[in-house]
Amino acid sequence: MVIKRLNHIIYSWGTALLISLMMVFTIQAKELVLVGSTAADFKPLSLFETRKIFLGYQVKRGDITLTAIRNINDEASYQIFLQKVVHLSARNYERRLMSKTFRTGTATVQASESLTTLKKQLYSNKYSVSVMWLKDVELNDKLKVIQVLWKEST
Amino acid sequence: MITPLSFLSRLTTRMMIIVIVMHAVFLNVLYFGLGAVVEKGYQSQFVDYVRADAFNFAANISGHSNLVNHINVRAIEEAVLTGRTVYLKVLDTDRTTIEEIGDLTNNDRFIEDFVFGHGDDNIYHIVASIYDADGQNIGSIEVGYDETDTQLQIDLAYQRCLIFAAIYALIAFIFSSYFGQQMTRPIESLLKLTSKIAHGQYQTKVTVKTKVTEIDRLARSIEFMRAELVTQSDSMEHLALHDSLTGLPNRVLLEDRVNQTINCRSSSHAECVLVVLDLNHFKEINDSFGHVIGDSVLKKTASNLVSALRASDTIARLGGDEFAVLLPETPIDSAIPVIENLTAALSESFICEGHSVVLGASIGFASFPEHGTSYQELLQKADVAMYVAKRAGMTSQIYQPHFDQDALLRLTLMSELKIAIEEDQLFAAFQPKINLQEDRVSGVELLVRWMHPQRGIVPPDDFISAAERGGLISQLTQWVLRAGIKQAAAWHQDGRDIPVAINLSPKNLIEDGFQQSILSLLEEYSLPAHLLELEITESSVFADPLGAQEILESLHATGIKIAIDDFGTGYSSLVQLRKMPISIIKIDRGFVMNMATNDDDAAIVDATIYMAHMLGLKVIAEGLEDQQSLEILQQLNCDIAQGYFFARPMNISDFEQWWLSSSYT
Repeated sequence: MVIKRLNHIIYSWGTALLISLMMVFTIQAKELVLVGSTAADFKPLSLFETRKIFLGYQVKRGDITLTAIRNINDEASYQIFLQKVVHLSARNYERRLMSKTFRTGTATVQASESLTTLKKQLYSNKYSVSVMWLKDVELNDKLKVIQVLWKEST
Repeated sequence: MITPLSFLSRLTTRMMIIVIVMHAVFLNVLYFGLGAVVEKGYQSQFVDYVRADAFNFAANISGHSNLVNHINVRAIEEAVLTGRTVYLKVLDTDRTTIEEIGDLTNNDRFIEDFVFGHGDDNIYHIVASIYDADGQNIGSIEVGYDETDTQLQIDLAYQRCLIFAAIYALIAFIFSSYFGQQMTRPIESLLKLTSKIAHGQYQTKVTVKTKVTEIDRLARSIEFMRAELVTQSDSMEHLALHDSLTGLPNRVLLEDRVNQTINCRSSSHAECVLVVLDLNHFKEINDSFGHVIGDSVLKKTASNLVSALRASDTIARLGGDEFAVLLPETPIDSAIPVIENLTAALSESFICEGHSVVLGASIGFASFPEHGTSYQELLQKADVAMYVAKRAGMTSQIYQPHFDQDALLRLTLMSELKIAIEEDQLFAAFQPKINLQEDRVSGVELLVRWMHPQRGIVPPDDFISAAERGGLISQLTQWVLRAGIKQAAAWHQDGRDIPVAINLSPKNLIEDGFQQSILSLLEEYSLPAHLLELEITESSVFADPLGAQEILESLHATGIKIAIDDFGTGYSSLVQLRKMPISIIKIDRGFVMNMATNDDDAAIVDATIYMAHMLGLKVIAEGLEDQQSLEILQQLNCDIAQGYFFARPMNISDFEQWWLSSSYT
């Protein structure tokens, strides 16, 4: 029981501490943003459309279907993304995606564990979008912020 | 005594340790693995609920620009009352509180939670934005959800995991103990049974109740081994306690039976009789018809004796043609009819190679407790009685205390002689032999003497016959040979070549390796063979002339001189002796001692000397005791004489003194 409690505390506090540290030690308030290639010229996605596209549903601009790529490189940003965009737990989100894939036969929402790889994927496809910290997008002329998804309250 | 080390090395303990270690690992993995899955599941379920609920609530109150100012308070209250919601707060874009309900936190600064369990308030804080119909942000709701129920569910899951693990461990422990016992109990039983077998207790059958095939097979193998051991043990016991030729009990079993009877001291079992019988004429049958026929005669005799006895009697073969019978619970009077039956059985004739042979026997018997109180005593006295019967030519004789003490002495000496040889109670006496032509010592005869610690000097005739009867003649002869050769070698090294004559028993000539043992002694002491003389009697030569001739010739060829002792008392003739490799004849003292007074004896001595010389043999006259006999011998041209007239047999120190003072040296 003690060990279980310890595990629980380590897990929950670990993530929380990560988020808290980011809040405390970052001078600039953190922002989680929806990003795409600079070359992307489609109309920005609403929050609802963002939710749809990350849940594996089609979001089109003209004849082009936009593509979402999950950023699982950073646990803290992923949890904020889950809460603010998908409104599901990580487990339920995975289950939903898998269920939808099995049910419809469509491709699941890709996931990227590497930020570098994710950026390359965004560069290569101007109709793809993903989620990352604003600081990762700034000073990068190949990516642009499509929408602010969450902003740390100061 | 069970030490900690032996306790740990026991199979049951080891099995239990293995089970405990395995379950300690397995149950930990099960507990934490399953617990983690359950915990994660509950947490995900909670997070799903709060996220869906918060954003659904926000979505439900979105859509109208004024709605945020006209919030449905009842709906908020309902949410707080019916759900897990602890508090709910509606704020506008300036974060001004428009409506709030529930147990509000006093935190100065609202911190949103993104994982279950963040913070120590057991509340999951979440923010959801509110939009108008145009999608413009018009405010937000902050909701707090109670984590306590979920946390209790998680704790309960862990508790149940722990209980199940404990129950599982307990059941596993009980089962493993039970099955461990089931396995080790028969092994323990087998261990006890094999231990019994190892200690000679073969009679308990090896059986164990087990359903384990390997143990069952092991038990069967051990039972098979035990059965084989019983068979072999019975066979060995039978061999150890029975005579292989006749199948009768042997001396060991007889002794055991006698002791059992004697030790059974109840009045009805008080008396018993031990009978010893020795077959007559068996030696003649053996010599005449050979050992094969002799053995079959013994078997037939044994069978006849058994038929003549009662069921309760025990008959044993003591060795050779000697048997003994135990008549238990039998007073001496009641033994007479049984002994008559034995006599009748032995008087029946046998057919040997077509010849009808009647053996007959000499029987002696002694009674317990009248004549003796131990097996040895009874056997000895029955043997004395048998010896008396044989000497007297009687069929049977009961032991009488006044019987010839010599017989008793003879039997006693037989048992003591072995100790005497081993403990060096014997000593050599030397009697000089004088060359009558040269008046000097031509050699000595070694005569063995026994200095008994209690009886003093034992006459040689008494113990030599005992040695022959008791099978000790070989050891005695070896002792004498070694003493004679050693002394002759000492003299030889001293510059005195004095031949030493040693008497042999007839039984020495039929011993295996006898000739080689003499040669080995000569080599050991570096004695020239011509300084050794061996004296044998006529009877020993002519009992087995061919065998004796072969051995004597080979000894003669090495240079050893052979003399015929006590010549004239047997039935041989000089013509027969001519074929033998003989160098010397010793005329028996009976003729020499009476020679001066008896003309017949003088004539025999004269003729013997004459004929011996004709055959190229030397003649020694024994028993010379007076001057007159010496003069006659000198006149008859006798070569050598020995007797008290010159010197009695002397121990070595006396002999050396005699040597120094004698005119014959």
